[in-house]
Amino acid sequence: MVYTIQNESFWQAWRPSEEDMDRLLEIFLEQGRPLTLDDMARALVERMVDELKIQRGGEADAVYDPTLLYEVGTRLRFPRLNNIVGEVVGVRTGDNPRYEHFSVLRVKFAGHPDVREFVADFHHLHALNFEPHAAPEELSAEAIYSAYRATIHERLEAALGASEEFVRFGDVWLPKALVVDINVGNRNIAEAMIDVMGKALPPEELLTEMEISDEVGRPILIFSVNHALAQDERFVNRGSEQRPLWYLRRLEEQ
Amino acid sequence: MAVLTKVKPTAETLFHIQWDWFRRNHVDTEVLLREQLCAECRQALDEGKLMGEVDWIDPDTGEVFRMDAVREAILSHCRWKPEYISATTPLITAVFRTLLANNNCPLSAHELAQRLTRWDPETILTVLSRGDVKWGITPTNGE
Repeated sequence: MVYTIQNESFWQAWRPSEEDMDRLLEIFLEQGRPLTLDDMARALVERMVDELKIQRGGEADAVYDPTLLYEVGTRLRFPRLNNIVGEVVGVRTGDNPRYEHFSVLRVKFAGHPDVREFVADFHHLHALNFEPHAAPEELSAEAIYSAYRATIHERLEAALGASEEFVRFGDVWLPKALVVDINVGNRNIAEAMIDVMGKALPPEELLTEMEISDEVGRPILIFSVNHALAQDERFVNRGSEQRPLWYLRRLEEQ
Repeated sequence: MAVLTKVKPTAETLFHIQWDWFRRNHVDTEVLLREQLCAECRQALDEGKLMGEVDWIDPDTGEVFRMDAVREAILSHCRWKPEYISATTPLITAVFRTLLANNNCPLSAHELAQRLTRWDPETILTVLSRGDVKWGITPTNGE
């Protein structure tokens, strides 16, 4: 059994939905820092996989193999039943003279009142239409991400670029809702600091004189300063996008 | 749309065996099911070896269901015999046996035609939907 999310066709057709953008917002809120496209894409796939696992009944201890016997309490994943996960709540002796000794597992699935039964310790493989030992493909976020990284990046970047909810500085993004307002007063302080020092300054240093609460955390504050100064025509970045150094355009022109 | 389907079945309308139909029409299902057994299982039945309920193992999933020994014999043994549905089996018997072999999971005329290659979906649909109910085979929404 292979999940849709493991197929190339799924990712080829994938365009981040409103639900995906909501997932991204949650990821930003949890991590509390600006994220690169790689950070976002990886976390998004991990979240999608986690949600799928929860839908299927959570993590399993083993994949159901009808030739094996399992103890009560074991959580099994059933590849032939859309990978749903259930817990073994009992074991009884099988009852059919057609076959020699076998057992029957009593399995409880979350959200279903009835206990279902499955054959176990069963070695009459001719009676089954599937290969019991075949290891189904594991649902791994890492494997999915490795396989479709380029496509996911491309689609996510396009969606973020088209969205008015996210802003970018360099290779990191942040939801607008989390960006701290660096008002004109603070930008004036930055201008004055650069003027007095006569050299380009990093955002960390500019923040030392700005009157801003740092309760949102340093990474978001630094991003906010960089984003605000990049929008303000008085400032010019003389460093890189990774390590910005802010200077004044008018001083450059002198 | 469902109402239209109920009035006039199409090749995609699902059919199943409505066991209650036999009771209402005073047809003994035990006799009927016995007639679907292969010679080997009929002998086993005569010798009292097919008694009571047993575990039937769904070959596609490994799931176990309790069912009477005669039905289990049909599902696990007789259905695999070439004579279960042969070149001379009448259409309605073939449909009945196909549904039995499918553990009465509903099938459309289209799906039945894929399994019973001797008839096309239209022929199967015509036989199933024209006149009185035959062998308790009804659309699933026709109960």
